[in-house]
Amino acid sequence: MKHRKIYILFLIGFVLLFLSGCRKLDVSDYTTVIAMGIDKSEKGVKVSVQAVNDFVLGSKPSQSSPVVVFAEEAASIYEAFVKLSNYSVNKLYIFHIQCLIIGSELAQEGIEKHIKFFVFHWETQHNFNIVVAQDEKAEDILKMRSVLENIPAVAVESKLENAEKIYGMGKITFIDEIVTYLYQPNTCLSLSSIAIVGDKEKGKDNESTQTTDPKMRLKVSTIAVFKNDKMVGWLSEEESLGFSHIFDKIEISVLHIMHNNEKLYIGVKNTSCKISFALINNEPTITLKHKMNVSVSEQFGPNEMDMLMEKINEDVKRLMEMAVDVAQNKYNADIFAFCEAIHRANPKYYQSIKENYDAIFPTIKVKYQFNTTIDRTRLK
Amino acid sequence: MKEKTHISRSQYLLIVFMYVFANDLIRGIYAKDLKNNLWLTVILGVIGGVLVYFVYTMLYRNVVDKDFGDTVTHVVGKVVCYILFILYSLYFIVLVFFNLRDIYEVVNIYLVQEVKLLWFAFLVLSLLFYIIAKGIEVFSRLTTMLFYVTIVIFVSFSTLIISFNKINVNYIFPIMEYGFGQLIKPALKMSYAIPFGELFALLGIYQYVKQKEYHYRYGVYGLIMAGAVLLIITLMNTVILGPIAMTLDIHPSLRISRRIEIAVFLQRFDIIVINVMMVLIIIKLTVLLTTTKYMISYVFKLKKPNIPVIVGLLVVFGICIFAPKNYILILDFRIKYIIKYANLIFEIIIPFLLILLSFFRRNQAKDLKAK
Repeated sequence: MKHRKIYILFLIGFVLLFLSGCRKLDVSDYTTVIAMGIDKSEKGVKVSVQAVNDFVLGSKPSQSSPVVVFAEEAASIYEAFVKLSNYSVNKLYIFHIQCLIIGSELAQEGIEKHIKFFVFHWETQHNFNIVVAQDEKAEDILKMRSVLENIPAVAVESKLENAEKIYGMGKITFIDEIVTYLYQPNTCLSLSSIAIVGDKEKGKDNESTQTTDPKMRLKVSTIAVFKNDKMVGWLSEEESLGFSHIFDKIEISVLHIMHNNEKLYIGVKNTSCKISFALINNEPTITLKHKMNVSVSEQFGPNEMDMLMEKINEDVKRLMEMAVDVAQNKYNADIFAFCEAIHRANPKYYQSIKENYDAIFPTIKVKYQFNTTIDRTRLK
Repeated sequence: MKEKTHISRSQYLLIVFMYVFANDLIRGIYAKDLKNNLWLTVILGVIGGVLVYFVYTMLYRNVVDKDFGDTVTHVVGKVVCYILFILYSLYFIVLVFFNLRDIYEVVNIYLVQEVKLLWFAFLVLSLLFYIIAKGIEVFSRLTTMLFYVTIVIFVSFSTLIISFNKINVNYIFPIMEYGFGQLIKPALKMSYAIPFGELFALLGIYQYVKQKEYHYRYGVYGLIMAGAVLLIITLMNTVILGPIAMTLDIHPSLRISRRIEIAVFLQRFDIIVINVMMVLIIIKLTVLLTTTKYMISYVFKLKKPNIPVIVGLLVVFGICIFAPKNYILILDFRIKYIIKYANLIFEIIIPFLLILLSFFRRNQAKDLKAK
């Protein structure tokens, strides 16, 4: 019995000895890539990676940069990524990427063939944010330093999350959603964008993080509109807000109304919007049922509430109409997934218009319904 | 031939649960055609699986007081029983190979890229031999212990997935866009093949249940429990990943586990999911090989019942050497031939014929019992 136990222990030890060879690399043999960027290039695609400098993350403060950006051009993302190893001391490990930035030129050319790498590559996580660099190269965005976050990619991710919940300009999009929008017929993709404000050359320097007034800032900008897999344009700030009121749930935002020739701000909380479809007089009609809580900066009497509510709803409606109008008439791109609402409500009708949806989408009537609750007036 | 050992009804229930849950690994092969209706097919598949299992139990109901081998011998005679047992042993060995190949593919892609198939097969098969050699009682205790681990991981991961992801209930709709007919064929396949089929091997385990004449329903409970868990996973896949992204992977559970992220760096939860998948597959393979061991020992009246296990494991190892290295080819072969023909013959046609015949032999069984 005693010998048997020794034999089993020996066997386990023997097996463990071989298992160590299953994965030859230790954590210290990896360089963690925290963000990636893809740009158009003459060879096909230029891949940039923002890799974390492990020494800076340690307890001892270092003068060196917390991240370093490498870039390589190739015919495909995979080829460029493999070639990037020529710049790195360790194997580049992309499991922890926080965001993927797409250069605006590449976005205009089409993203489908490039996105496939991130969909199918075993090393990629599926919950990283995907954004477009507004009128910039992705590589430039990756090179910008951040004051409040040591790692710039984490700053970009936090800004996007904030912007989605607060004000409503941002939109979190993961790779699985992109796949859904690209491969589902008739729905069009929309992505958040990130823009450089200020002098981008100074934004790369270490000094830019040692001042209270950096000469460059990264900010979440307006929504990029895609048709098929190509970016066709941008929404304006108000259109982006209108889009977020329809598409997303905003936690905190703001509206303005005119009252007694004065501009009053309205605090908006917890918006949601339900999209439903019905054929009314044989005309496809989408109804947007919008719900939100508001708080008002001024004191209003009970008899003024209806008027106040009407004005607030009018302002939201204005934003939403702007977004719908630009999607229907300027880009003819169903970024709100109205087609899926039609599909859900009336599959037979959807099958009949599916092939001809581009002609139908601009003619869809949109009705607005509001369920606004005033939490309090004269907020303090 | 039967070991003079017993397992309790609840242990049997957990073995059935883990055995069926193991099939979640390649549930995604149905997702491509069914998309958002996959969850409905899962429900129909569970119902079908329960019916098939219920029919299987008729064999023990009609021929009472006998172990598995004697029951089949009683129904079809010695020669046919021996032939059937040899055929079934080969069939189970083939299933062992396919399941081993499934889990190797996952381990090789996501966990340890450098591991070679033969080395992996050697380790898993050695472990299987060890478990089987220990006997059914040890195996059932092990399953009970692993069940609690699996359930804790399932519940905590489901909670994390739901907490960290946006849920879009609209992804479920429209329900049955192309009618009910679209669901029937895959639901039938699910009932007799993966994930709710391949249950015939469980009859080899059921004979060890204490007072087996009274506990047929515990297998059904296990099946329903596994069905409920697979339904929850399918629904989570649909409402979080969406019907399109869900079809990208034959391992949707693994894909969704990669959506868990805690504080930027705490992300690799998929490794724990793969480990659970390993555990489940090992339980399934143990059931298949335990039944194989019993059948071969019954046919050849072996004094050392571990010999057929060694031979079976060597055959699986041999298949690993000669089978194509490309998993896509193996999966394609499995869908085109194993699920379509082998599963149908061995899980439906032969067992149903056996049970039909057992009705004719039923009275004799009762007479014997009365005597």
